[in-house]
Amino acid sequence: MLIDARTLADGAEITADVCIVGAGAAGITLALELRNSGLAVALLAGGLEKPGDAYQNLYRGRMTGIDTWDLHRMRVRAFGGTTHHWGGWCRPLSPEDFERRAWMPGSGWPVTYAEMVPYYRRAQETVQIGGFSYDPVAVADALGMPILGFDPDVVETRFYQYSPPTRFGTVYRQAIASAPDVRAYLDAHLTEIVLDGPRARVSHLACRTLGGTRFTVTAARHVLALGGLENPRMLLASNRQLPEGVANRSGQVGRWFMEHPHYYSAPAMIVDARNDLRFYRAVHDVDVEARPTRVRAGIALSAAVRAAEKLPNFTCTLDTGDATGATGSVAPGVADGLLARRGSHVVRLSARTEQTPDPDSAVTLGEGVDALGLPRLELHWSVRDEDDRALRRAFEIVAAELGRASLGRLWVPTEDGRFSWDPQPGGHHMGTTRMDTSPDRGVVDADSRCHDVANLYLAGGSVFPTGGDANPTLTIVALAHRLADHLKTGGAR
Amino acid sequence: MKPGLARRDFLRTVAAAVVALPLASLTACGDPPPPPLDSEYAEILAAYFGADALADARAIGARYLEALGSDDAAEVALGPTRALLDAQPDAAGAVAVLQAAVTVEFAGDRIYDLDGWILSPTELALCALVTRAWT
Repeated sequence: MLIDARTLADGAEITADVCIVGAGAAGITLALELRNSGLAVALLAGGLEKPGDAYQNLYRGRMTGIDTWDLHRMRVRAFGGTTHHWGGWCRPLSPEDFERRAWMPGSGWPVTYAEMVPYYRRAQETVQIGGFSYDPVAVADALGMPILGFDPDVVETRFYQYSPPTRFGTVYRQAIASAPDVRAYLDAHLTEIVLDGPRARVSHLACRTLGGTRFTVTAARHVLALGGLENPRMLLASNRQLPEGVANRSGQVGRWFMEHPHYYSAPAMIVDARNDLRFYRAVHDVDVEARPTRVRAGIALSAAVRAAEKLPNFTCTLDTGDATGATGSVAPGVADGLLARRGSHVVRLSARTEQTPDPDSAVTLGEGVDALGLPRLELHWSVRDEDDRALRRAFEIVAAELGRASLGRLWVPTEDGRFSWDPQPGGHHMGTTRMDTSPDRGVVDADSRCHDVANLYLAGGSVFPTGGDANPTLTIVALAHRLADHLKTGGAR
Repeated sequence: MKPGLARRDFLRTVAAAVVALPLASLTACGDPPPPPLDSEYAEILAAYFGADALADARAIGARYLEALGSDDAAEVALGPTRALLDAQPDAAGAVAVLQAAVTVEFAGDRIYDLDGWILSPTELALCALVTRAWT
């Protein structure tokens, strides 16, 4: 059932077994999964069915550090959340992304890849892509296209699957609206997480509409699924009872903010024209495990090489357009047409990279308040210098393998031994309420439950201890499936 | 069989890039034909690069020599490649060992960054030998 919260009486008291705050990919997946489970679910959407300026303005904040897109434009505050402008790129995290890597601070998920696989399978259906199979050889064979002749122990081929993309607010609207045990409230904004006397459980959630109608939600269990920026903001802003905010005895809430630094059209790769690059330079329609999907291939370093060289993960896609029009930055003064006449493929690579967690890359409460009276968000995104050096080294290895395999050569933008190109954001907000078995190092445990607050769970990219390089939505949805199973079995009532 | 990178294509493309700042005039469209090589290695170099790619090799070589900075450094850098060529009985044998050397260098992570291009020292030394053959 969809309910416009503006129709509620001021002071209304809503009760539920589970209250999900946030109606994006994670929140809607949770609500879908909890249907018919015997639990009464309240789903709060901090906007209407369509995005609107008044709601987007609630997301305004200040950026320090690396300046990226405006905070109120990179996210969508509406039913369906940021899937309203999701690009649809899907790939699971790599198995080693879940493992502890000695050179990667904060690495080591309390969940293994093998444990995640069943949830990834379900997530693939939720985001409407093919089966959970990421074997590039099988897909290339199905397409009748070759993969490049790298030594796969050094440079591997990967591929993404493209969601249509699934606009959760549209695709799953009817399923939510018709579920008798799910009440989805629109224009329903959390304003404070109120704890009980001992500060060990959530007592209730204070909420209001943008217009000012106030109401409360009291539930046995609560899930914040507001995204990697709003989850920490709401925990920090609920500081009337505890000055550090809710679930923040460790002081970790808001810290360790991670993005996936994107370096668009950066290195230039010359590949002999006799190599067939079709698999890499276009999006292809193909069936994966008998389900239609669209795929796009890229290249990456193997797990063994990354481990040996202590390098973060990354994937490079080959730009689909001809690089000749963009050679000015590679070879200033050389006529653009010069390269095109010479027979080789000249291809730009766009890299999507993992950044190492950095405690100083953080979300904090800034100055001023929004229309709900909540402190504005301040985001300081930084990337460690070591990451730029590691990326430079990573591209050296790719270049050497290109040469060894007689495939081509690589140009890498470099300055003072560092990869040098302006990082762009992916809109992937991770790490700000990290998952760790230790309450000193993490905000949530392996079940996504807050260490400090027994009946409060967090969903979304904020719980990622490390981000890998894969676009996060598939993993966010997989974790939501996993959390739904936990909630259905009655954990921590 | 993996197709190999056509050396001429590679050289021309890289030349366009690496020499652009200091040596753009050498690689612009409509370059005059290169003067004849005057080198005991002329046959080998032409066999390896292809006669019509020598100008590009020369330009890359010039930039490499500039980057090396001194004659002494250049001697150190070019010496192994020159020795490799001296040991070959004919041009065909030289081309084969040069190709093998380049592959071995890449496989062994022995690379050189020339203005961002990640190249093998041997192929750069060859280019430098072409340059010197003209000067």
